[in-house]
Amino acid sequence: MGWEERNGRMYYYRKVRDGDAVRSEYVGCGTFAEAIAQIDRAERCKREMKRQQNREERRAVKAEARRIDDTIRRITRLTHAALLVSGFHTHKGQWRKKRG
Amino acid sequence: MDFTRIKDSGGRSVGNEDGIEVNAPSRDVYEILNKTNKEDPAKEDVQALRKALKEYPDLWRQAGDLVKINQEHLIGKIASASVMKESLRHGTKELRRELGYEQSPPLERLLIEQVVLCWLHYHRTQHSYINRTSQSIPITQADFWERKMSAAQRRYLRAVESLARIRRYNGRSGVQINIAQQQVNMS
Repeated sequence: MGWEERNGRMYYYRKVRDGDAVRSEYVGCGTFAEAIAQIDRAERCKREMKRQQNREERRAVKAEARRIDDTIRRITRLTHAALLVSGFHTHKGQWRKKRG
Repeated sequence: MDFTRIKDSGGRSVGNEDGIEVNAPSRDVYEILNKTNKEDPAKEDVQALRKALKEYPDLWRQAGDLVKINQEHLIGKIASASVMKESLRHGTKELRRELGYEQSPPLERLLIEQVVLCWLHYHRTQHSYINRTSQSIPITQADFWERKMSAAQRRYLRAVESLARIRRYNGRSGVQINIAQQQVNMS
């Protein structure tokens, strides 16, 4: 995507995906091409902002999951402590009451 | 697994926000919690754990407070409008009532709060999942949201299972599940 010089004049081309291939699409020159280039720049900025937002959202979701997992670990730890002092023990990952 | 500390005052009395002195758990409490976090801990360690839980009943309150803070945080993330937040709070109250919060002993109440937390997290994740996957998104993002949705469901189910398991132990064995200085007889 960009400006290319041909015979001393600047022409604007877009890169367009065509299936698996990418081809250059001629847009034009002069004021019209400048307007299109500006629109393209704005679209790219918008897409980049959207990508950035999505990245931040994914980071926030991961951080939130870590906080929740930390809280769950804390509660699990205390629950196990309560079971231990109440006479339970683990056997092959299962909690059982001690006999006697 | 290390027990993350909220405060580490070395066992000194500290003032809370109301200026009331509370005993903050010492480093030893966390050490004994970590030490007994395995299959078949030594008897003397279990004795030390029993003593530590009696000395620091605040451990339970702190865990409960942490869950409530996380619940409020999630409510804030799910809903921006006050009306929606109140609606969600009402929903969590209903969930607590359905799970028998008022009639439950302290340990079960803590586990009920865990269920509520995971329920909120599940709905928050589902909300984001629906928003994102209703648009055309790259497969890597779709995969990310699928995994997060599955993980949120698993957390919720495990929270419910934990509550059910403790209730089964309480009901079947007729044992006392002790929390700090409170002895709760369930038969």
